[in-house]
Amino acid sequence: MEQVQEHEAPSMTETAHGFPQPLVIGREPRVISQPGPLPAVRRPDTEIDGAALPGLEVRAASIRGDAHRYYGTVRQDAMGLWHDGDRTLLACVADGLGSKEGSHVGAATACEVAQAYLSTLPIAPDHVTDARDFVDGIAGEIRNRADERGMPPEELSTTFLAARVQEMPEASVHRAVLVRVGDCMAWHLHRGVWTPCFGEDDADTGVSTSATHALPQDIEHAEVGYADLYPGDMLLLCTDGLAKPMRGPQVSSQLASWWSRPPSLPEFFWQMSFRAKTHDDDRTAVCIWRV
Amino acid sequence: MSEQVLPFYLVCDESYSMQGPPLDAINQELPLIYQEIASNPVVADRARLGIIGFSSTAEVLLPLADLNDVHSIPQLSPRGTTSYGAAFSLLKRTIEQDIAGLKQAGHAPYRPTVFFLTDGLPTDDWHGEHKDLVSRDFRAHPTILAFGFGDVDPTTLQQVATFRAFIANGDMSPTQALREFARQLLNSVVQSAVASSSNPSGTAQLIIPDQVPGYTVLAPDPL
Repeated sequence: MEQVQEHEAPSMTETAHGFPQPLVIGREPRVISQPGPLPAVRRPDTEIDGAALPGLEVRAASIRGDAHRYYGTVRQDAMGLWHDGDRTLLACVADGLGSKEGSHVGAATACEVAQAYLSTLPIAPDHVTDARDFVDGIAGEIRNRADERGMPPEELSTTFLAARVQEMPEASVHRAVLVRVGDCMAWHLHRGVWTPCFGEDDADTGVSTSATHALPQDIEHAEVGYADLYPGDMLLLCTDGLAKPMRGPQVSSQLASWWSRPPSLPEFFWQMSFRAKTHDDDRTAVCIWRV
Repeated sequence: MSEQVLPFYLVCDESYSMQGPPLDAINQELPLIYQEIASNPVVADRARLGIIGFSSTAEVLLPLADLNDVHSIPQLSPRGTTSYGAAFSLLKRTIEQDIAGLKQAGHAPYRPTVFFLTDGLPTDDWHGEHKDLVSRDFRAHPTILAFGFGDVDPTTLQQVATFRAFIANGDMSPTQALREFARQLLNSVVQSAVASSSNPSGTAQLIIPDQVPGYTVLAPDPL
């Protein structure tokens, strides 16, 4: 029998006294949570955003995964928030497909242009059934962006999820209409219980797969979901970098507990930075509390 | 806590014809493979490598394990004849148990990848066991890459492989060819793990070279 050399983890950067490291959930990952080489494509490691709107509190973060940090590669997730100054909020998250060269551009483009196509989502009646015009408009913009860069459109492939949250007149409810292409997820947190806004693809196929639908190609695979938000409720939009660890009850219950109320921005970033073994992908979440 | 797991199996021929340089080379390379995997935290977190040896019978030499739990590497030793049937049947049982165990622990295992290494003609009728292993009815049916050298029969190798077969073309000594095999195994583990970390939403997890120095590539048998 020959001995295997024990792997020595690089030392973690010293932190100020009393400053809590990100929470480790489950077994300690070997991947250290720290920046690595500067990616050639310049895009910040992390974006943090938030808003206080009539009846709503928003916290949002898009964080580069520890694997991307380790290799010095760019964050491929993106997010976007837009408010019409009145009763309508649009929130988006997107996850550029890792194998594609321009996927971070695709993800960012989708989140950036979505608000221009918001009017193509029918407002009444309550239930939208046809989101094709909305995703078609966004897909067109991604194709244009690919043209400008001289890339084939599929190089900008990205999953996409948007929620239009509207304050209903004369009611305490905010109504959310959600549209997605691919494996981003949305959950409604009500009294500490997570309910998925889309049917979860949990068909027991024996082993996991990683195939997903993506824009700009899969517009016919747009799905529509709904949520009615009452005071105290929260709507979570996230990429699979958070959705996958959330399949573990340790993570989902921890998040439900943390997010029973809106945290401060630094607190939100710290919470979103939790570490879980093998979950080292980019992580993006937009949380919308009905307050 | 739910972890994403990429299972790899090395299934290695230990029949007497492997005695000498071929097994010596594999035995030298195995600890290096584990060291290399351990040196990359992204890979070490999600890749697991198990080893099955076979001759007249088959045995699990190293169970599919997290690298944190692997402290010593077994040595392959020459013995017996070449029963592919024993290898495939044990491999199927092992995969079934491993996948079930991983899922029971709440993990998300990906489809297993098998590196099958052999130097000779099987001495048994193995087609039934192989069919059970690669059948779509077996939900965790693995992706098999077959590497052959020595007296191996190209047609047999093509029948074993579900993805790609590589046959040593004599450009290299057996030692070199086996080192090359080990390098390909390592690269595949590393690159597939890296691809799946940065790309959980992507397509293929398995990254396999199109060409391997010292080997001729054969397509799997379409049947």
